[in-house]
Amino acid sequence: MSRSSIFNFESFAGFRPRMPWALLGVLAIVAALEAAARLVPNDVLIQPNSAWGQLRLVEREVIASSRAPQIVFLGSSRMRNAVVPRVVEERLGMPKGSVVNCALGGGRLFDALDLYRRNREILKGTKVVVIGLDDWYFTLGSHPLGTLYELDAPLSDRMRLPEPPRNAMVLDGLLQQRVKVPFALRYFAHVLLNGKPSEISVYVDEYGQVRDKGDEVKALTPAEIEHDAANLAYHHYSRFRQSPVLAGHLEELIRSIREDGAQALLVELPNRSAYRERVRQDHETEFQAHLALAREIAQRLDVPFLYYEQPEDCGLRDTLYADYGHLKPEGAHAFSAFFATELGARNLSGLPGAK
Amino acid sequence: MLFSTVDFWIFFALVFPLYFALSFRWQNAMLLSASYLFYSWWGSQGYNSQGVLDENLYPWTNPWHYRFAALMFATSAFDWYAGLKIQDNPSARSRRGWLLLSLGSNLLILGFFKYCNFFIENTEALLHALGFSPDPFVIKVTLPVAISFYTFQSMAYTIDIYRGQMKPTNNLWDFMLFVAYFPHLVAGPINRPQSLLSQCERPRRMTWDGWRQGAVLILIGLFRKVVVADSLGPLADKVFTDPTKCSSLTLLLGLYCYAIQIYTDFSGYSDIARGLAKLMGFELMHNFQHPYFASNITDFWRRWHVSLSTWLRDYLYIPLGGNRGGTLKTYRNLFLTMFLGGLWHGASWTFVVWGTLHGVYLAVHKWMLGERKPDGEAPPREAGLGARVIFLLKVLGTFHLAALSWIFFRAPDFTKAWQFCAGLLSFRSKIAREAGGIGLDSDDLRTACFAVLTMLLLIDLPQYRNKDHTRLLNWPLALRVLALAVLVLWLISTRRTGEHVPFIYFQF
Repeated sequence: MSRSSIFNFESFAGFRPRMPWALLGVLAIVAALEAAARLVPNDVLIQPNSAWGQLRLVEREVIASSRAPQIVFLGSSRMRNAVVPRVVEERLGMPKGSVVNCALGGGRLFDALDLYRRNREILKGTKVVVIGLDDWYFTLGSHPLGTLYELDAPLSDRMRLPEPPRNAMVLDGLLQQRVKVPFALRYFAHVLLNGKPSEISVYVDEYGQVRDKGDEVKALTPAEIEHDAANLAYHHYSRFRQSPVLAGHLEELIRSIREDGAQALLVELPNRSAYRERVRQDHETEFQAHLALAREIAQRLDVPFLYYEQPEDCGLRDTLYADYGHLKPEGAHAFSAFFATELGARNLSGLPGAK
Repeated sequence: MLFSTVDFWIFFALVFPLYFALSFRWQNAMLLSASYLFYSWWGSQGYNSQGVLDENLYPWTNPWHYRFAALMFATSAFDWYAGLKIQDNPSARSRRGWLLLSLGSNLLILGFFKYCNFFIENTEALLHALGFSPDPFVIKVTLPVAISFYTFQSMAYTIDIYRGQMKPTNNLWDFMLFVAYFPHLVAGPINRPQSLLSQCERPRRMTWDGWRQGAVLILIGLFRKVVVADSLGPLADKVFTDPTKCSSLTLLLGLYCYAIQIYTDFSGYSDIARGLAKLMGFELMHNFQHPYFASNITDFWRRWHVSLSTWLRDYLYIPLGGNRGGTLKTYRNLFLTMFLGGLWHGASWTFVVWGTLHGVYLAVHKWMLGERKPDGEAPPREAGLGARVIFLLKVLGTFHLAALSWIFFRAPDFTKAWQFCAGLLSFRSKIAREAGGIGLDSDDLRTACFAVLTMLLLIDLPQYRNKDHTRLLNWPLALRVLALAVLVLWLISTRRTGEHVPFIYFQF
């Protein structure tokens, strides 16, 4: 040991280490579980009824079965419910499978970026990528960053987040990107508590649209509409703070799309009037901040930004909504027809004009 | 810096190896510097008193800011000097003067930072009530992190010297380390100078058992905090946000969630603090002795936040006269001590009501006991079923008394607290979702229940029965490995939602 006056390890005088059998035992158990978990594919281990499950469904049944997709829609469940690929194809005179709706329920901009990156080889020939924006997209306050972020976001991205959620995302990144034990245990816990593994609740219908089995198409009472709007507005704007990290995901997505020779188009779909009124009443400043950021990005990157403030702006009405912002199937058909006309009118990248 | 963050563990990973490589005096110097760095962390950003980034906060309003580190340095230095003066001065009057200066400066600082806004708001409210319309007077005072803890610790030092119970230290840096030692700095335990200061003044020795115990305490603390407390927090928050939208059953479940959350959050922090200290050869005092297993309210206060309750007993209750001076004076002293204990927690009347309620509980219990001494011990193994059932009922009763008081502790204001109480007592049935009814997610509740059950079986019950906080280490190897593996695996598998839940007691 050093005899210097500064470093001399004198605290260790009389230290008698023993074999840490318990620690070794714990490490052995963790290693064994890890080895077993690595034998199981992610599609089984990671909750199918999650953003990951949806992503895999879209990859397997939408993208893989498409034919050289020309128009791709990305976004959250609002975009997923709003666009019927077959209707758009029919309106634009495009072959079946050339329009794909890859929007994910609960999907944020990172999810869209992740999906695009993972399937870049197939999506490279796309002419137009339509990115749906939601008013909670740039804020860290409301929604958690999501399964796909936890799984796939690089450490450098997570370190740039403020606290919270930086700590949680860095820890999750260190754990979940390197070990599979947490997934195995959660899978096991789910089976134990529910008697069976989770099942994905979404499917692809005959129109090529991803639908959620849980979507209820029933008329909401005025009280339910009001409650739904107030609840979601509160939830989306809770602890509102916009983050450059989230805005950065959009910028990165647009750049990737451009690199592949496609055009990006930003769209913000209208919400039901009850929601819009509630936001206007309680969160106007935050909403304007969101719009300003979206416009700033669009302008800087020279990307068209279509903002539909009211349902009537795009051929819709309140009765076509299932809730605060998700369209019923008939609403989706109406919007798809309208938007296809819009796309045709813009003559983007030589897309066929609308009929 | 918070113990459940990556930043802290990177900090500790740098501090710890350096610590055991250094000689004693250099260890102290390094620990002191590290403690001040720990205290000033995030100084350039706007973190609020709960360690959460608040972009509305400017750096100079940041409670973790280096300016408040300078305040702690200055008050520590003054108290150290006052301690020397108290010891050296032959005149009793001068000695008392120095003591009053030390206490006064600590209470003034605490009073200003903690209660200034409270005082202004209440004065304005009173003037309004009397019909005046004063001009609004706004002064934004930020509460520095840990001020409630380190001021009490410093005051204990000068009081003990004055009482002749200890001699002051001649080494300023040892005293500074005693105050600022990072494991216990921001949320206690409030260690006595005779215990912790003496450890700062002499070399520490690393022992294998110390490391084992330290590591297990840290694991237990993280499990309590990350797995149990953080899973219960969102459930409790939901209910306390709007009690009028919850059924009575939901309110009751939410209250249970909060009662367990605050215990596991705070005891988890204390366990981690003690574990970190043990790794470095320090012994910090126990802060929790399974308070929810108490069979009466007096016993509860022997087990809950022990460092604060004993501080209040030794430096407030006993100087007031304690139980010497007749029945009425005893009740007065109990009441006053708990009233001030409530106020210590925060500048809000709800905390005062919480403390006062416990004062009433203690006074009533004292009256019920008469001349008998309070006994909180569990019946012996050979006791009959009847005795055990009675004990269990007492434990449940004490738990519910404590839980009821948590309503006032947790509620943001009186309105919500009364709404909560009214909702509980009204046997309100479930409110429809369309009418804004709030319910607790059954999956979340189930997960939380399993976590609490695991904690009870692996941690709390063994500790309670054997009066040993690291009882786990005495189990047979196979059982020990299994138990530790369960804790470790659950900890690494717990989903972090990104909503980082700070330690509750950081706000005090």
